Amino acid sequence: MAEKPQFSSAASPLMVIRRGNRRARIPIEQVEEVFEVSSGCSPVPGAPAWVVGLTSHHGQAVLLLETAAFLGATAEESGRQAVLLKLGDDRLGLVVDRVEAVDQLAEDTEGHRGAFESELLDRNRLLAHIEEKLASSVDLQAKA
Amino acid sequence: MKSRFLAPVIVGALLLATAGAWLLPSSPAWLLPLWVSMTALPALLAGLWFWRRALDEAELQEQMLQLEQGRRLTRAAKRTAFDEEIGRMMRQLEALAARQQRLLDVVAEAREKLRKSAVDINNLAHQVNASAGHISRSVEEISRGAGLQTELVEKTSALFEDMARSIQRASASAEEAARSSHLASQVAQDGSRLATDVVEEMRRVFEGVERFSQQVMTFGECTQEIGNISRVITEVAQQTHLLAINATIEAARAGEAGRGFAVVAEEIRQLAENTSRSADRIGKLIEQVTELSQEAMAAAAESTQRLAQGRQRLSSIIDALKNIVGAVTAGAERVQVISHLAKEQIAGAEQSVKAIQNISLVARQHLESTRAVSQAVENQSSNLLDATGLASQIADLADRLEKQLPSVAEANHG
Repeated sequence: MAEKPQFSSAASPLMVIRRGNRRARIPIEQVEEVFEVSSGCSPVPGAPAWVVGLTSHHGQAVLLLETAAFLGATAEESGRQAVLLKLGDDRLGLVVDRVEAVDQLAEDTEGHRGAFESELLDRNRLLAHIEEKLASSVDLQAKA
Repeated sequence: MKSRFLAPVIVGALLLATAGAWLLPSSPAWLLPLWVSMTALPALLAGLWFWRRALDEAELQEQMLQLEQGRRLTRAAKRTAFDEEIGRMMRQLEALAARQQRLLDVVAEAREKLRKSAVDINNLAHQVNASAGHISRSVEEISRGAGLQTELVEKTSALFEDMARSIQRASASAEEAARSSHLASQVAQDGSRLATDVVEEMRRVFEGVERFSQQVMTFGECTQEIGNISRVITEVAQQTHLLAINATIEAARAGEAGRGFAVVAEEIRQLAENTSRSADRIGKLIEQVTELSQEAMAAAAESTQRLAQGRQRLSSIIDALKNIVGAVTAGAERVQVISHLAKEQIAGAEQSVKAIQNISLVARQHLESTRAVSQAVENQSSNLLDATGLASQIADLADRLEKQLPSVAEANHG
C-alpha cells in the first residue's frame, strides 16, 4: 500500500518532474494536466531552440517549451510527456521525460533529490526564464 | 778291243806255225797247202770266233754299262749271239732293258705325277696355309667373340640373377602390398560402414536440430508476442500513470474533498509505475530472450547449414570411401595378379638363369673348343709347313728324276 500523499493546507503539493539529468518541482496548483506528446508536434518557424513547437491538445493549440533549456539540463532524447501549466488565460507545455512524483513533501524528500539537483520551477521563475531567454534572443538578433 | 780279239788268233796261228815248223821239214810239198789250209783256216775261224765273241762281249759290256749308268739301251739287243751264253745273257739283258724301259716310263710318269703332285701340294699347301691363316684369324676372332660372349653371358647371368632377386623382392613387396591392400580394403569398408552410421546419426541430429530450430523459432515468435503484450502493458501502465497523475492533480485542486481520491490516484500511479517497471523488465527480458532466441536460431540455422554441408561432405566421403574400397579392392586384385605374375616371373627368371648358366657353360666349352680348333689350326699350319717342305722335297726329287731321265732320253735319241 502506497503511502498517503502529504497534502498540507499551508503549502501546495509539488510535482517532481525529470528532464535529462535534472529534476524540478512544480507547484501542482499551477499544473493543469500532464499528457503525452507522442501524438505529434509541429515546429514553429523562426522560433528559438527552446521552443519545441505547437501541438494540439483537446482541440486547442499548446506551445511546448523545452524544460532542459530552463534547467540547464542535458537531454539526449526528446521528452515524451508535457506538463500543461496555467499562465492566466494562457497555457504552456513543458516537455519533460516523465513525472516522477506528486507530493507535498517532495521538496524535502531526500529520495527525490537523489543525485539530481532539484529546482523549483514555478510560474514566476518560468516566466523569468522565458524573459531571460527572449532578452538573450533579442540581443543576439540585435547583435546580428 | 781288237787286240783282245787278235790274241787267240795269234795264239792259234803260233800254235799252227809251231806245229808246221816241227812238221814241215819232214813232210811233202803238197802238205804245205794242206798245212796252210789246215792251220790257217782253223786259225782264221778261231780268230773269227774269238773276234765275234769279243764283239758280243763288248756289246754286252756296253749295254751293261749303259744299264749300270741308268741310261736307255742304245740299240736293241741282238737276237742271236755267237756264244750261246752271251746270247742268253743278251736276251736277258734285252729283257732287262725292256723292264728298265717300262720302269723308266713308270718313273717318268711318276716323276711327272710327282712334279704335278708337288706343284699341287705346294699350291694346295699355300691355299690351305692361306685358308689356315683365314681360319686362324677367324678362329681368333671367334675365340675373342667367344670370350666376349662368355663375358657377356656371365654379365647377363649376373644381371638375370639380380633381376631374379629384384623380382623376388618385388614379389615379396607385391604380396605385402596385397596384404596391405586387403587390410586397407577392410579398413575402408569399415570406414564406409562407420561413415554410413555417422551419416544416419547426423541425419537424426539434423532432424533434432531442425526440430530444435523450429521450436526456437516458435519460442521466438511467442517471445515476440509476449514482447508485444509487454509493450501494450507498458503503454497501458504509462497511460495509467499519466491518468493517476492527472487524477492526483485534480484531487489536489479539489482540496480537502479530493484527498481520498488523491490517495486512490496515488495508489493507481504507483501500481502503474510498478506495472511499467515490471513491463520494462519484462520487455528487457524479452529483448534478451529474443536476442538469445535469435542467436539460437542463427546458431541452429548455422548448425543446420553446417550439418547439411557436413552431411553432404559425409556423403561425398562415403562415396569416396566406396570408391576407395572399389579402388583398393581392384588394386588388391591387381596386386595379387602382379604377385602371381611375379611368381611366374621368378620361375621364368630361374629358368632363364639356368638357361644362361647353360649358355655360359656352352660358351665356355665353345671357347675351349675354339681354342682347341685354334691350336689344331696352328698344328695344321705347322703340318702344312711340313707338307710344303715335303712338297719341296718331292719337287726336288722330281727335279732330280728329271735330271736323271733326260740322259736316258738323250741316249734313246742318240
